[in-house]
Amino acid sequence: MAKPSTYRPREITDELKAIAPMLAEGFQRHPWSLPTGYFNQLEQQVRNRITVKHQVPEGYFEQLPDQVMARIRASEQAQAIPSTNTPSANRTAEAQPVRPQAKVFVLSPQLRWAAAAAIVAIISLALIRLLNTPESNTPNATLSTTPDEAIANYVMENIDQWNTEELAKHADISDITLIDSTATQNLEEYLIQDTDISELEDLL
Amino acid sequence: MEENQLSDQEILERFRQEATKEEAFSLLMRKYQERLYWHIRKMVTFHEDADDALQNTFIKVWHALSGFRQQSQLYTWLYRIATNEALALIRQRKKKATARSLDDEEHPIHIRLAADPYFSGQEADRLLQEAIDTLPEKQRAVFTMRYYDAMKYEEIAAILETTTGGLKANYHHAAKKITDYLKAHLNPSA
Repeated sequence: MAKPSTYRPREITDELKAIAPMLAEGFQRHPWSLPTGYFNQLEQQVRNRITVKHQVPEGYFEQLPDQVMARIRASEQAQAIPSTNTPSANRTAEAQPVRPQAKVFVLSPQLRWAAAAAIVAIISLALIRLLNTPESNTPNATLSTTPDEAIANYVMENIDQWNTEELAKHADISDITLIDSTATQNLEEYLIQDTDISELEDLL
Repeated sequence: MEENQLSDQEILERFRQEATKEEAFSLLMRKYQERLYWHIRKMVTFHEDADDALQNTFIKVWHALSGFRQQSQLYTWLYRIATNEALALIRQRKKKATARSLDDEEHPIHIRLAADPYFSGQEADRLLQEAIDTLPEKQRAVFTMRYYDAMKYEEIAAILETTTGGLKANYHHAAKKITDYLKAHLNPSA
């Protein structure tokens, strides 16, 4: 297969010499090649990706109506209400699993009152224990007794694993000083000097 | 008239009829596959990537051709799809490379080109490919179309649906960046 033409019109060569003379010569115009016979297989490969054929077993559609009718008949028979005197109804009854009957305990009135009192006592004890939890176990109390240096070290070691945007949402920024006007001027000068307009265009 | 010489209009008419749709698609592929391949290949550099992008291009064409309104030439429309597929593939490749490692000291293009049996360029040509790979995608597309395919600005503008003024600026920026890259890497000690 012939390679594409490497002819370059004079207009383009002259432009290149003017803006980037280094690129006008010394580089191959066509350093690429491709596997032999590539274009012979391409069409089939594309067709394979376009046409995904779902195959069915041979004779499937010939048998399908009979199979569907057989399933319809079977479901109709199963839904028919069985008579209790017919042998089939007896077979159905025999096939049912026997459920064990639940045991029922009858409590005397005294025992009922005793059970209720025990439950109330357990709930009350749990509530009292919960309300009397010492404050030293709360996160704020623990933090207040931890040295600042230890907290700072912990933050420095783990900050990469935290979602800083989420933290910033909850941060108190009222005491953060804004950048002064001198710094803003420096930023503007930097942007004017070092920004590539075409890259900005690409971003937009 | 031989089928290979059918005009774009005739291919389109055949594609719109169900009975001749597949045949028309074959004719279209045979007519444009090589041109589109080389157009894509010069942008993506590697054969495997060009093959992926070219197949994706033709699959898109198959699905969209019946809705083609002929507001541009078929040739331009095909090149536009091929360009978009090539750029999409480059984007994916860069994302994967970034995900693999942020600390690669050696440029991935350089590693792949050195081992590529379908690239016959010398050291300078490999460096040129590396330099092109550093360009933003629009500059890269414009540069390869103008530098390798010798396309006119008007043709490139029709494919990218943009103005020739913007394209000239993109081409000049790209050429300058590539020159700077080559100067820094061809003779770093000079």
